[in-house]
Amino acid sequence: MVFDYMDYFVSMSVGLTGFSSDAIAPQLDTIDIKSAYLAAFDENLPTGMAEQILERYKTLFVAGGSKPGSEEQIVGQMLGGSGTSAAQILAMRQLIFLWYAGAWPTVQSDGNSSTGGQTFSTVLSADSYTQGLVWRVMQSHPMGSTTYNYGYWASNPPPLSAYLENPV
Amino acid sequence: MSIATPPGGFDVVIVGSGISGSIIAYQLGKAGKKVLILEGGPPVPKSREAYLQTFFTANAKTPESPYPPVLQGAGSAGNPLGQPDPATLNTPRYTVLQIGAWQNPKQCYFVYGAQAAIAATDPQMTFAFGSSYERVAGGTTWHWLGTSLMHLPNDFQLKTKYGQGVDWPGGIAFYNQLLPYYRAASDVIGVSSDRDPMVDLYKTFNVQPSGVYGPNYDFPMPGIVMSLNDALYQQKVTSLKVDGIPLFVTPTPQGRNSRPGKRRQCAGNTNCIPICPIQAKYDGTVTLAEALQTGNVQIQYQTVASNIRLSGSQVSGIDYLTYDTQTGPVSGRGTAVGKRYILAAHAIETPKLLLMSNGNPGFPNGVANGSGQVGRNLMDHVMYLAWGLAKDPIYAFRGPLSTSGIEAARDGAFRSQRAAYRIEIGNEGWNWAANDPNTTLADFVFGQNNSQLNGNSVNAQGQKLRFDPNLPAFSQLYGSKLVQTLNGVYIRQLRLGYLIEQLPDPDNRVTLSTQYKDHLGLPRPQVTYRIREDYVRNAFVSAKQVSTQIFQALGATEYTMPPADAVLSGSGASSSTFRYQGQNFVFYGAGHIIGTYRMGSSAANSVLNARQQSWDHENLYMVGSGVFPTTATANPTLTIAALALQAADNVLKDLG
Repeated sequence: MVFDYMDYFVSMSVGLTGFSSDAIAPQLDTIDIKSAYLAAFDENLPTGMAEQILERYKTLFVAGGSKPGSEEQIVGQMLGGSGTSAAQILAMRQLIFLWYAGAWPTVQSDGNSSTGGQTFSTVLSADSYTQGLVWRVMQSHPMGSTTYNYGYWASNPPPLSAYLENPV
Repeated sequence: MSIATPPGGFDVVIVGSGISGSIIAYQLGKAGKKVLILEGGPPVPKSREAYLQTFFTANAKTPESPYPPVLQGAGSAGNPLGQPDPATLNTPRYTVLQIGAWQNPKQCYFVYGAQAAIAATDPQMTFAFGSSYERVAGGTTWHWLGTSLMHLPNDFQLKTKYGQGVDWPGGIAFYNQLLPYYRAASDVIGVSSDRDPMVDLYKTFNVQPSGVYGPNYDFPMPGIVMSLNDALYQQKVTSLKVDGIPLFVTPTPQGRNSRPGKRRQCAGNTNCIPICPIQAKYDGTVTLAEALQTGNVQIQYQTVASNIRLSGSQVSGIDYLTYDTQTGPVSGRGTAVGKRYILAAHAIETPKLLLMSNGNPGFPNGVANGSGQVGRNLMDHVMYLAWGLAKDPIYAFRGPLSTSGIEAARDGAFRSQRAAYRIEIGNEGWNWAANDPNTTLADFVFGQNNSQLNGNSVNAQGQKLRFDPNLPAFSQLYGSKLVQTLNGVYIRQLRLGYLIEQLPDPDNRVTLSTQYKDHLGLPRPQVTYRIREDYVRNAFVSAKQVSTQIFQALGATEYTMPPADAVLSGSGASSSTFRYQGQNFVFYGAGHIIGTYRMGSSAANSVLNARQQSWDHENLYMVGSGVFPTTATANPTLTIAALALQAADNVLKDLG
């Protein structure tokens, strides 16, 4: 990848996932899963598409005054088709899935099926599995990798906001 | 690896280093007997981190996913999961992923015949077997759940008491003899359980707890604390009865540490299956290490037993093949000789070895097979799964996979009509039931409805299943709405699993494939598996009704997915769906492979006597759940361990 759009990738990811930038890109980011995801976002799409999506996001974000907190509204415009193609919208949704599952999805849409199709996915790495946002949105830990102690399961977890706003 | 044959030779040769083989090796090693273990798989890794990394990166987190040989490679047309051809592997084993490819021996280790039934209502319908096992040092306890329940007294006299199946040899007397071994097995495994709830449970079965445990007995560790999920069931199910039996929740005795000890304290990784990352859960490698530390036990890894030699009616040696790499050539061969021989290779590979050993004069049907029962009576706990969504958060996906169960329906007069079951309460949301978290995630990101939460699905009670009635069907969410929706779903997910007892059916069997071999050139298992009896099928009808009642009592909404009509032929033939009393059912494997070299009271209809000794060959013993005459309803591992301890005593008596 030849462009350096990490800031906009993080900002767009905040809007797509509903997690804070502290969770997506912690100050002390030893695992740096965002770099792996940006690379996967680029490599799994047709050449140039990731860059086009990020350019579009940058344009809208800057036009709106680069305001923190505007991320979700901007990705909403893009997912609604404002300057984006169907392929780009699907790519943005694949990025949501990647952040949550740590796996790149292959979507098989089927309008004739009662389920609307199926999704298969490929795990990027051990880190991407444990960093998946699914575990945090369920107020828990990755299956097979907890930092909690014996008996935690008998008590309510911390509030959801704690999982959305903080680094792991 | 070189084996140093002790002066005077080995007293005992054991095939397999799982929980049974390791327990016997330790008992004999402690008593000063010289033991050689032949293990087909690789050694226990220096750190379980290697297995854990394999698990983390696996696309399908099946019970076998952490362990060699690997399950999945790059997919291709006709092989979307990239499953390796079992013919290219030296120690292939059956895996859950292979169930979907059960009609394709290029992907499935077990070889199945074509479907014989012409309708899904036909009891002759054949299925893919539902359960798998490992071929590594430490065996299948690497991926067991940890549930450590005893069978109930009536389980040992099913024929006498209820007219079903068979009795264990001696019936109730067998149970009484086994009790001290059950207590010893609880010590070996280090079971965590409080005594009081077990006493309460046994009272409902009219079993005197003092007879079970003795007056002063207590478990090695206190009970594992219950989950928030358990607490909801505990409050609500007491309003219900099944066949007149009041329901209540019992905390499960579990083979995982409730406090620090020789192993670490359970940290609730919610991953007992496929792998406990911190070995808080007991597995066979614990006892294997103890056995090796006696100094009297040796083990030879990557050594696959291929033939049992007889001299007259006595076993005189076990031939083996060795390999260096999983897909490499045979690297050596030899014959292990001892005074006594013990087969502990679980309930598929053990009968396979007996049947392969068909070259001995006078024993053309294989070793220990005078009764013709070797490989027959293949059983599992066939499982009915039910799932739902609680009204309020119960915080699924937290804690060990299961910490409680409903045990009250494990015995009763109903057993003359239908199979008994225990109900396991899952803490892992819809992970098993619906492959969550990924299914629900994909539904709300891509506008699909495989979870039934995001469309127009309606359950059998007419309840609409769309999670948020304010959202349109097939919503595609992002940002904060996605967060709220996923959170709302995941923290309410409930799952019940019914472990339904299966009856011994001589036509459910393992034989040798005449066509397909593994990479060592050994024949692969040909498997025929049916669920023919109304006795067993009636339990599915009961389980379905009871689940609906339980979810209603909880104020939960049921999401159990009714299976589609079975497809009977072609490469997409249904593996596990049948139709009974006008309803489709799908069964799941419990991971409990049972019955293929059973004990009995007569040489005419069983492979082993009550000492777990071959009727045909005095110096040959077998252990593991293959010896069980019936499945009963307890998860089998505690009974496997108890029987291994009993067999060790018998072998010690023989050796003098």
